[in-house]
Amino acid sequence: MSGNRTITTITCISCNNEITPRGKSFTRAITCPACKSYFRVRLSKEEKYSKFNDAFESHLPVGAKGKIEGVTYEVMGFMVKREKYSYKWREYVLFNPLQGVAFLSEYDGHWNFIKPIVGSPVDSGLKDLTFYNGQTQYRLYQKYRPRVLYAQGEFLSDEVYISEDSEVREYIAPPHLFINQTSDYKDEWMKGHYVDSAKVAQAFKLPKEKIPMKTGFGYTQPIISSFSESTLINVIVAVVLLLGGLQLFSTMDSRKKVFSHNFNKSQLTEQKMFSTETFLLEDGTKSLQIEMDAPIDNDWLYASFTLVNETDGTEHEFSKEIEYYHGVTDGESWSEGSTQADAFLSRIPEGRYHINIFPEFSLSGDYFNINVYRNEPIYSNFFLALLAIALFPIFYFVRKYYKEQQRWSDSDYSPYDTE
Amino acid sequence: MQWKDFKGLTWYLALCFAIISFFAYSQSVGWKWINSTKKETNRKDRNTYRFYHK
Repeated sequence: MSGNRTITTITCISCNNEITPRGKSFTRAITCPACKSYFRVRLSKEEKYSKFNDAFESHLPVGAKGKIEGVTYEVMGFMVKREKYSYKWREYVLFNPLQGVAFLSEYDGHWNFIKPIVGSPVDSGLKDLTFYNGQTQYRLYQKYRPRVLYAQGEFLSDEVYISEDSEVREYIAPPHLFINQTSDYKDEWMKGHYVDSAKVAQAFKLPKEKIPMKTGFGYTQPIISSFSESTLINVIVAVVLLLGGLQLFSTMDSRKKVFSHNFNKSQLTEQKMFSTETFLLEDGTKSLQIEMDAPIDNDWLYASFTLVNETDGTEHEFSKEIEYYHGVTDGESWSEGSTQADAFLSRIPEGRYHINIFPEFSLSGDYFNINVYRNEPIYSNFFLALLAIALFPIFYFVRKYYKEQQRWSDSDYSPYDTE
Repeated sequence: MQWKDFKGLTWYLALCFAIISFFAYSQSVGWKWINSTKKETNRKDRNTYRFYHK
């Protein structure tokens, strides 16, 4: 075996095969393509080597080049790792001579793009389970000691030794994650984020069917990737404030009484109807509210109305009923109904109007009072608009809750009650 | 905050704009979207709820 800063070939420690490393002097460990032995690149003849019992397919071929975030990386090596629950995942070592090393890890068709960082990302609040990086809270998702089941290609560090000698902690704030790899002699951090499998296929110019199908929900997979939650919240706040302002503005333009009159049963015409005096409605198209009250007691009063536009003859028909009863049953007093009722008419154009009233009196009712108001404030539209605007955010946050539960169901550190 | 932050919410922004516009128009012309006032040609039977006063 040979290996130093100027090597052009490496001799396999097991089968003496001559290998030309892609990473040239950066290559620190390699798997012989002929005999599949994995070994460190060193001058010593005493170097140990490993052989893997299982063989796994690499979905990104060693030597393939792909552009990720504007940087062209070459796939140097491929590993399959396993942790205590026998979860297996694939890791691809990527290399760019200027940008250095990066990794793509894949589990169940979900990918993370990971790069080493200098120093610790922990800004504050480091506890066993969480820490803050800037304003973002990262939560421990998993802690494990990985075992390399298979390695192929070249590595810029002795990945098999480092992996098996390290404890790995993964902290997530989807779609981002930080990975802390610690051992007796090192404490390294890496930063990563979720990458859609279609983008991986596109980056390496591979057909989609060559990339594993997504299964389940990835542990760093964003709920929705096309917008951020903070933007959605900002939009909701702005829209609610705007709606509230419009409601306040429309309410300030308060209602005006345009007609009022008392009607007595004794004044009924032969047609059994009352006809009001003409009243004028101004200010364009507005609402109209007709309020009726009568001093009834254990009685009812019913009336049908016709609002008549005297200019064009348009008629608006409606009816109202007043019922008010009270009494005592089994020693308990009760009441039902009211001595008042109101009718609301939408979009009544300006003009001269009168109302024809066809009342039905009971035996004791004799008279009632009518008040007509122009531009009655409307509150129900505000709540309906609010509901229409809230439907999507409600759907989003409910879905998010269930997706988060699903995300954390595979973690030993779930913040959700999984009992 | 930049425009690209809103890109994925374009359809929702359009929906909000449509709702707000319709709301503003409705308020200006006094259009109550759900109006219980209706035309009845005959008086119905007693249809009130009884409340007991404790």
